[in-house]
Amino acid sequence: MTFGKSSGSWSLRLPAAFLIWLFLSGSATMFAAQTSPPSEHGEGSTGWTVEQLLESLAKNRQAEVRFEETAFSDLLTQPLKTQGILRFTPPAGLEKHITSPHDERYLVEGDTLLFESKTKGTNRTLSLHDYPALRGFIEAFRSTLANDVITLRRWYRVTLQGEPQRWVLVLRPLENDVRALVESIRFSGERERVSRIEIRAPDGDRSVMVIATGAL
Amino acid sequence: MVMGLGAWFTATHTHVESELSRLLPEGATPTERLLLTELRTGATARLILLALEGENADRLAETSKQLAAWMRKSGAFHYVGNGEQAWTQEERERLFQYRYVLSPHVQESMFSRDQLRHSLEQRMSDLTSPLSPMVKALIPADPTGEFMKILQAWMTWTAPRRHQGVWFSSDLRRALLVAETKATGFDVESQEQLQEQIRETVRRVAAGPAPPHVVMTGPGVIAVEMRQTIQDDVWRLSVYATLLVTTLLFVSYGSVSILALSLLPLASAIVAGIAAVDLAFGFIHGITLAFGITLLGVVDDYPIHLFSHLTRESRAPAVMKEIWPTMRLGVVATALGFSALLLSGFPGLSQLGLFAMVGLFTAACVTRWVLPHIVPMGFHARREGLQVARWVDALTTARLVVPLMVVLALGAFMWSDAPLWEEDIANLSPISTEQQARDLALRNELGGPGVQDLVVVEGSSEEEALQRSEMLALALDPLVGTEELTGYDLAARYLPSRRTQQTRQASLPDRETLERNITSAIKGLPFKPGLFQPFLDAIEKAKTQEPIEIETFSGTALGLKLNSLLFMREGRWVAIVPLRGVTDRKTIRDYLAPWREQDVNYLDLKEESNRMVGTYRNEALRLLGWGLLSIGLVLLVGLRDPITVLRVMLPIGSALVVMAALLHVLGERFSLFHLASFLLVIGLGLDYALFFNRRHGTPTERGRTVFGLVVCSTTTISVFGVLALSQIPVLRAIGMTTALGSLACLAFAALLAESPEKPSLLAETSPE
Repeated sequence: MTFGKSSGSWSLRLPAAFLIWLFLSGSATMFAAQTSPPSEHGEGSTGWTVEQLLESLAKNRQAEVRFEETAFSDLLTQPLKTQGILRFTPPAGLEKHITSPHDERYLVEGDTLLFESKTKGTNRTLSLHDYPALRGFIEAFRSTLANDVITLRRWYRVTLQGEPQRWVLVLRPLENDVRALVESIRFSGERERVSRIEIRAPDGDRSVMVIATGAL
Repeated sequence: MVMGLGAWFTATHTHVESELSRLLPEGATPTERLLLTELRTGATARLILLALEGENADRLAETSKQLAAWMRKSGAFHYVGNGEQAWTQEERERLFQYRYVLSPHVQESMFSRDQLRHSLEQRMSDLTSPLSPMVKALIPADPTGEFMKILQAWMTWTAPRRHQGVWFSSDLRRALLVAETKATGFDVESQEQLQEQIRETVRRVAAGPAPPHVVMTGPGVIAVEMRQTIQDDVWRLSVYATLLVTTLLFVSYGSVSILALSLLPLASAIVAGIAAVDLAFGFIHGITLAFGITLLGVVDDYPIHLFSHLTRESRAPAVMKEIWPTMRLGVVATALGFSALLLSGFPGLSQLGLFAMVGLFTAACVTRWVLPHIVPMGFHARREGLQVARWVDALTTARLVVPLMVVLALGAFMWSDAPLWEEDIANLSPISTEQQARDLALRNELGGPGVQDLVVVEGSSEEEALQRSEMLALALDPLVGTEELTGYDLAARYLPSRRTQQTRQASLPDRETLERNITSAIKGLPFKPGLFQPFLDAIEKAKTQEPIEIETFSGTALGLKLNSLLFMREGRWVAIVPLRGVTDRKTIRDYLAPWREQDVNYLDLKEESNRMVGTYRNEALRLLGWGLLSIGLVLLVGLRDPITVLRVMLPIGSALVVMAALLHVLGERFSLFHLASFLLVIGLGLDYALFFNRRHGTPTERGRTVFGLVVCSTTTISVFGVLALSQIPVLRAIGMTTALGSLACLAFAALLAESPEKPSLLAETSPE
């Protein structure tokens, strides 16, 4: 059997695995989706930088957006879908609220992560300090939305592809802990708007989240 | 010659112990004894808790990793934990392999079609998460999530915060480690060596410019520090005491040879004392030796009495013969005082009692039969003594001071609302408050539970103890979560009894049934066909596999925990069930009362240990009573007159009351160590009172007696005054009590002494 590919630090893995179980067992997480693969455009054109993109995203971001997510796994014969709302409260608050097919909330506030499932009647709080892999994973979203390029680059190798009109931001984790969870995270969008987030796992599983246009 | 033989015997045979546990009481009930033995020698007694501090967190984490790597490689530790590598790959696989006997949720209904369907739906939702890569691998072989359920059930311990994969205090200022040494906690030599190696390794591997500061605690660390304190104390105090006494003696007699001769009884007393203790106990404790020598400072009185009575005309053997009856009475009475120590029940105090008694008699014999023959001819005390005697005699006019002070003292007792007795065992411990605070802080940071409430489950075998504790768990479960109890820990949770393991195995379905159920449960779900083949294999294998053993966990954090929760002592197996969040101890005690018949006992450790303090103190009080009675009897035999006995005892009784009041006002709470010192004070006081009231032929002779007494008591007060400076609470208590007591005894004996012109009450004690 395998427990993940990085060798050695089971002490990290054990609680991490426990945490993931907390999050996962019972109800669905989600990311909704389109099945189309990400469209990769040409290499970064002149004068278009990650800094500029993040700044324009920060200027124009909305407090809440709806999403639909589709998960693909090689254990399954067909993908699974979920729906919900994403909220960002600058600088450090991030919430993923799944509304269908279950009611579940993941709320990050600074160093704290709250997991709440109305379906299962669970309510737990954890410190991200204890789970570096998870912290790294969350920074992918938080730093991107908060225009924190320095933190983002501490955790990820960041590349920007395409044009300001239609771009793809690719994050590849630097830390082994995070790499055990995520192979890459791709944000794609048009101008100052994120329309799609694709997360690829090291074993080929992936999830695609499509963000609805317009505010709630 | 005899002394030479004695010295040879001591040098070649004596085993000087520094193992502190041997000084502790044995415990009154079998349960107490079991707990005390476990506390001394078990896994808990071998723990070292470590903190690295004084550097930035990244460097501390790096040092922690390197130190742990060195410690694991050294082979001196059963277990080293710093947050990384809690389980090896092999251990993880073993745990996974045994999931169906370890999981509390395993029962037949879990493998029904409906339950399996429910589990599969949960696994499906797991897969919708971006974090699924990590749990995904477990799904085919463990669709019911048993492994994670085990981990959740075991996660009662809140692990410390982590930084870069290693444990840290919550403020990230200290990296934390915990280790179990192979050497016992009281093997002070090995512990000291290990601790030095740890410090040395930290210096060597430190990443920064200055190595981090190492903070250590745990029984072994405390034992080493305590020995250091004791050694420092003993050295320092003996230097002070020796300087003081020699100066005093030199000033008093102005002769180097007399000074040397006065040390002869003391030296023989020490040699004889060591030999006697070694013969009786097989070892002599370092503390006994240090403290015993101090106690024997009293025997310096004997040569002083002799020297003070020498005149230009007299011959030493004749003088000795004359003062011997009084001295003999004093020796016997003091020895009775020390005998109370012998019977105290604390092995350390018993050793001390024997050491002091044997020393006392040896010194008296040497003074009586050896010393008079080797005193330089023509030596005599200086005339200044007479002047001192006149001042002391003048005190008798102020004898009303004594009843006044006694009344004041009794008043102080009556009006004070400060507690009289020391009820908390922690305050008697030789561990300094700084050490206690450091220990507590590190334990809290590492998330160790504060253990006060325990249920002790005993059995004739490991299996019986485990089965009983499982039944106890069933009884405790309804209380958990109510206001009575927050939770409890249980060895059987990690190591179920064989019976439970077999029940779980029996509840696993056969392959055909399981295959049928899962095929039915999977209908309509998007799982790939044949995905759960590993699950079928695992259940089939689990049905017949060998049961899990205690050895399965050795060398891991869990093994460490198991060893402290389940152990064998004196042929009995004991499972400890620590309770958390007990609010009403009486309710729990009543609730568990029916279990007592099955060797299941609830213990409130704080109450138990304080009760033990009380028991030993009452024992000491009883001994004090017997000591007083036997001293009275000896005096009655020696003095042959009850009234005279009372007259001799009066200054001593008054001195005890006044001294006790003074200590009480100073904030001392009395423990059995104070009580033991009271006996010593009585012995000393007797010596003074007897000599003060001795028949004196001429004012010159009386002058010599009084001068001798003043010299004696001054040396005693100095020696014990020095002891009162000790950092060790026990020694300080004894030093303070005895110094104050002998001062009071001397003063009161002088104040209440017969006026010189009246006929002496003690005339008949001196032979014609």
